[in-house]
Order: sequence, then structure tokens, then C-alpha cells
Amino acid sequence: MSIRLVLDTSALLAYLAGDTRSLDVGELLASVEENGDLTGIPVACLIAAYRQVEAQHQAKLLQLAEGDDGPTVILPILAADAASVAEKVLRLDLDRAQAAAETLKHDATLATYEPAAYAACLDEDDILDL
Amino acid sequence: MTRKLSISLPDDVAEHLDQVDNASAYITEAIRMRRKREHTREMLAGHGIQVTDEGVAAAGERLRAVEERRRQRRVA
Repeated sequence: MSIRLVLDTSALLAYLAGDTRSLDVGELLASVEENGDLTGIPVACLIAAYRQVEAQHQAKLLQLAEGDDGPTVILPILAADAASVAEKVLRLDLDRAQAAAETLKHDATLATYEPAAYAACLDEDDILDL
Repeated sequence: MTRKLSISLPDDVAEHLDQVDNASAYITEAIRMRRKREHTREMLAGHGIQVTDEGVAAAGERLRAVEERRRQRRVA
């Protein structure tokens, strides 16, 4: 299975929002999985979202990210990824830098509510504007 | 471990299985994919997200449209 979609912090927060934004992200997750692929959650985005939400939503976030046999996989920052993330963190916050780096590494699509934030690192067609 | 089962299938499904190399592996994969899908939808429902087949299909179309634009850029 390949990483076809990457969720950034804004998409993770939307998943927890409890409104139509949650549905948009949920349907994307389901679609990717039902095509036999995975959605990647950069660990820096997971941590950034985690620190912004209340405890009940923190539990949901971990359930989404850590569940065995689930639709997502946590993407770590590996030693081999350090240069790519470091180069991007000169222009972006760490969570966005990792999201951009993972999108390019996996030749995936970044799902975000903040597409303009990635203009320095990604092409428009690397991004699904939620 | 494995178990040997006798099951009844519609003709069209049986004819399809006649043409695959390993029907047991094929059926196992199909059932595991179905279970995974159900597990995900249960998790989403548990998080208050009730997805529909139509919504999932529409999300897939949006994603494919972005991927197609990327593919077109690369071949240009």
C-alpha cells in the first residue's frame, strides 16, 4: 500500500471539528482506503494538532493515527528526511515543513485548509484545497 | 491455521473465481478489505462522522482530479 494522501495540521483539526469539515476529511480517508492506499499523518502535524485540542479530541486524534489496521499511518521524521524537512523549515513552521516534505517524498497529495501557506514548497496540483 | 469451507456463490462470482490462480487467497483478500473498510467506517462513526457511499465517491473524484492535474503538468 502506498501513501496517497497526507493530512496536515489544519486537516487534522478539521477532522475533529464536528461539522461538515469533519465529514470532508472522513470521506477522503475512506476513499483512499477503499482504493487500497493509505493516508499519512506527519508526526509533527499530529503533535501540533494534539496540543491545540481538548482531551476528548486528543483521544480521537490518537485513535485515528495509531489504530492497527486503520486508514492512516504516522509518518516519522527519519534521519534520511532531515535535510528535506530542514530546508523547508526555513520557510514554514515545522509541522507544515514535514507535511510538504512527506507530500513530495511519497508523491502524494496534501489535504489542507491552508493551501496558500505551502506556496513556497509545493505546486498547486500537489494540494487538495479542502 | 486454515479451515476448509463449502460455500455457495452466484454463477457470475463462481465464474470469476474459476479464472483466478488462487481462489482461496482471492476471497481472503476480498474479505479482509471488506473488514478493513467496515472497521474504518465504524471508527469514523464513533467519532461522529457518518460517511456515505456517495460522499466517499465524490471525495475520490476530487482527489483524482488533483492527481490528474499533477500528471498533466509532468507530461507537459
